[in-house]
Amino acid sequence: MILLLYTLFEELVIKSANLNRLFRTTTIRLALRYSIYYVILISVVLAIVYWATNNFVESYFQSRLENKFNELVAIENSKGRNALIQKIENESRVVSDDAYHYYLTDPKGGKLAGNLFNWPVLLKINGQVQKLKHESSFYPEFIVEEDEEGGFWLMSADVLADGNKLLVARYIEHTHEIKKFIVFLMFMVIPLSGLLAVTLGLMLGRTILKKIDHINTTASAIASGDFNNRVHDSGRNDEFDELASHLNIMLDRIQKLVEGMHRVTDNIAHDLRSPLSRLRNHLEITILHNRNEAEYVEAIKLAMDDADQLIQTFNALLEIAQTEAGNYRGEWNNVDLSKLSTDIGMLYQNIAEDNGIIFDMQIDPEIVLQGNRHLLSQAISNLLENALKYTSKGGYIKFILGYKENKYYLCLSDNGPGIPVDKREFVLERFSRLDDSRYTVGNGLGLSLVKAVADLHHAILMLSDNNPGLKVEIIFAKIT
Amino acid sequence: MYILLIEDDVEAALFLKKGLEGCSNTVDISSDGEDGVNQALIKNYDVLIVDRMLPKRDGLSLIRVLRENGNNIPVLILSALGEIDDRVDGLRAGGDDYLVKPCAFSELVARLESLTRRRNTSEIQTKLKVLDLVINLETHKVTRSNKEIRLQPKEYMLLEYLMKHVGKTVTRTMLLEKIWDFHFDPQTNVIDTQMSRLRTKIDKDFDTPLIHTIRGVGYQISESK
Repeated sequence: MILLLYTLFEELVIKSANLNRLFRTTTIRLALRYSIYYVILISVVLAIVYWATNNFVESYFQSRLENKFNELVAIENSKGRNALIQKIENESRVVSDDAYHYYLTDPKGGKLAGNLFNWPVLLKINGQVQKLKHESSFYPEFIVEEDEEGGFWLMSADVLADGNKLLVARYIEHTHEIKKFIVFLMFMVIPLSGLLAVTLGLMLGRTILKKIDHINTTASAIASGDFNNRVHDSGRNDEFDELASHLNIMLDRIQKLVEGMHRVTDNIAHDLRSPLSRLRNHLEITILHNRNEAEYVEAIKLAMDDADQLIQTFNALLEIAQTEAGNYRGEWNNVDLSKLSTDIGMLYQNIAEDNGIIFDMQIDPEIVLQGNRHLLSQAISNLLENALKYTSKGGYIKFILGYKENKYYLCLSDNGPGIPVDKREFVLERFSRLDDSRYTVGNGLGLSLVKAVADLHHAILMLSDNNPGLKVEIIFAKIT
Repeated sequence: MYILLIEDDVEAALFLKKGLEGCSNTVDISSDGEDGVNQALIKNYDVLIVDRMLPKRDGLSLIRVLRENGNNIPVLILSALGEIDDRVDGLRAGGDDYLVKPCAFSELVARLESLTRRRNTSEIQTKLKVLDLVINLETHKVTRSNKEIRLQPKEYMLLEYLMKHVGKTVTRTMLLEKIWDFHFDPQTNVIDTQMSRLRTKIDKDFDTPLIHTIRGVGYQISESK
């Protein structure tokens, strides 16, 4: 055991470079603190054991003594004084440290029987068991070792029925032995356990330090820009794994945000640049030659249209970026989705009818959810606009708001050209547009906003084939 | 209208002033929040145009001070901050309308006129009338030449709004905002479709058209164009 501790210590000393850091850890401080508590606890426990044992033993001997006394009294009462004397003389023949000692006197104090030499002066004659220190006058041949402490007499004396006085006594010396033993125990156990506690603390500290080091290293790597790092998960599902998993989730989010930011700046750079250049070119060309007033007016009007389009695109981009960031600063409260859908639906229904498109609306009432009314209205509007854009005369659009598997369910389907399977992810990217739609009005941001709004509301967006046409489904989270 | 424009961007302010004065308005300019408050409290303007980002005292704080002083002059907030949250903040601070920069000049003018119009007709009315078209604000009954016209709820709200702004132009954005409480920009002309349906019911079978389209701006109801 000592050897084991020693080798552990050696190992730690060899790694003394880390030792300094180890000692600074919270773990080692806690370990040391708890070692001290532990040592105090052990001491207290040992002290209690000592005291309890002592008491137990004492009361044991005490009751034995009382029994003995009563036994003798009974003999006198039943068989008379001579029987008692006989009994005492019999018992006195036993010579041992442990033996009972007796003293019987007549009312005037004359000794009748017993193996004690003298009647103890300090003893109260009241039938109560008392503790007395040994005096050489009790029993001069009684061997009491000089360095013994804690040994004492238990004595009980009382007046008998006939006036005689009876004393029963016993020498108790165990206490000293117990005390010696306990002290020995303390000197052995306490330092050993203290040592063990410190060692364990150091080992624990080292283990935890290693885990935390790993997290710190990963964090540093990420802080310097390498976003692909993640904290290692040991698979044990312990508290460190929990921490790791939370950190990783945070890192995923940060990575997503950073990528989102890059995308936004890329988009702004690339996709606003074209219309801006176009605007400038138009104006420049106009200025190049002499024009008449009508031509100038026309050019200015076109320029304004371009500018409006730019503003709209810019606003939409901003809205998407904010929504994707997931912490849209807008209001978040109960939205009557049924009423919202009905209102928007009816607006577009009129246009659909004007264009010869059948518009079928089935909105379940009282569908209310937590969200942002503005974003939801924008998203639904985008979907309806898309449906109208891609459905030709004679076609149909179906708008459903209801329930599916205990979740709120929104579905918009049309029988237009639809979106090919391989392009479905693509359309959710910003500014993507299917080839033949390049020349239609719109800035291509419609569906990507819908996706961002769905994500923000923890809903799933699905695009599928309507055979023919496109089916857009938004499935919200479970109704609580 | 007697307008106070509180805007710290000098160029933008002058541009607006020029445009507004071209429509027979009188415009004073203030370049910071403190001066703006003082001016507004001293003089008797018809309407205020307040930019949110101002030196010395920001726009919303300015409005709050005015309201605390019992001044209920209509305020139109013009701001580059366009989130829906910002709009709500602006209106809560005491603003009456909220426009995001950049905005069409015609939109601004239409809204200013709407704000000042509100001022004048504060008496309680039960009926509104344009020529032979009458609507009852309590029963929502609509008649023209004493013939009852049945309108859908939103159509009625549209007509009521137009009639409360009789003779003034209202923009599509205003209609979408006030009647549907929608703040998005629809690509297709949802309002136009609604309007043409309303027209069919109100104007088609009658001699004089009352609902007029104002090109590039919006719509108007009036006896004559």
